[in-house]
Amino acid sequence: MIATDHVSRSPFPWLFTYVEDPISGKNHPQGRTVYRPVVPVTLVGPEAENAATFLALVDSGCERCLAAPGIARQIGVEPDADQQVPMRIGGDTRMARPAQVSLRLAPEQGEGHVEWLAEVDFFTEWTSSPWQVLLGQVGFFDQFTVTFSRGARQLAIESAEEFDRRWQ
Amino acid sequence: MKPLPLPELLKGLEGKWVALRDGEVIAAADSSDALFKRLRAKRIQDAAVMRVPTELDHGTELVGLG
Repeated sequence: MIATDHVSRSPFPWLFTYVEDPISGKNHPQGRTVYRPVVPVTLVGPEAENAATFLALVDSGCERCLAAPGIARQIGVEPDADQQVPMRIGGDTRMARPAQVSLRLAPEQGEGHVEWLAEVDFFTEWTSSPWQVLLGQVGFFDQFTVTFSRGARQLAIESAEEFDRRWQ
Repeated sequence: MKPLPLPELLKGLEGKWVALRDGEVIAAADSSDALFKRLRAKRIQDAAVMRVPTELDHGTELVGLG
């Protein structure tokens, strides 16, 4: 399952600049500046006009793509309760239900986008996190070559094949 | 390009749902439903949504899902 163009787009790499977390600087207990690798990703359900875009945390340590329950309602998908999976997060067990949705990513600057089908796990309850979507290994990192640079405070998105071209 | 300074941009919007476009807050509401209703009424599709932590969240560094 490789991301396919639905419209013409500027060529990879696409660079996305980190954002400063809302809990950072004066809001942080130690006054630290906290940066996050975040990209705007659009979740598209059965009706394209109900698509919704969220700032999503790009999380290489997360196995799957996770989303808040309210998003399923916003985009009109019904997660599969028969496929419910308990997940332990931060010491708590929470239930997640999968649904097939289209994910769409557009460059920070310029025209076009890529769109692909992915299974997203929607939690039955969410927390106070500002990020309503986590982009994990299955459904995101299997679609692209993703390079992080803390120094540049940017991440680069390239084609999945780019890794092989570079290293093999 | 400098990281988007969310603490500065979101000051005074604690607990709200906000839509960001081109580095600016273009809409805010008390719930995600209310925010999307507003965005869809204006046919705005290129804004990204997030929830602003409350003041109670300040002082606690969030990890992943929080």
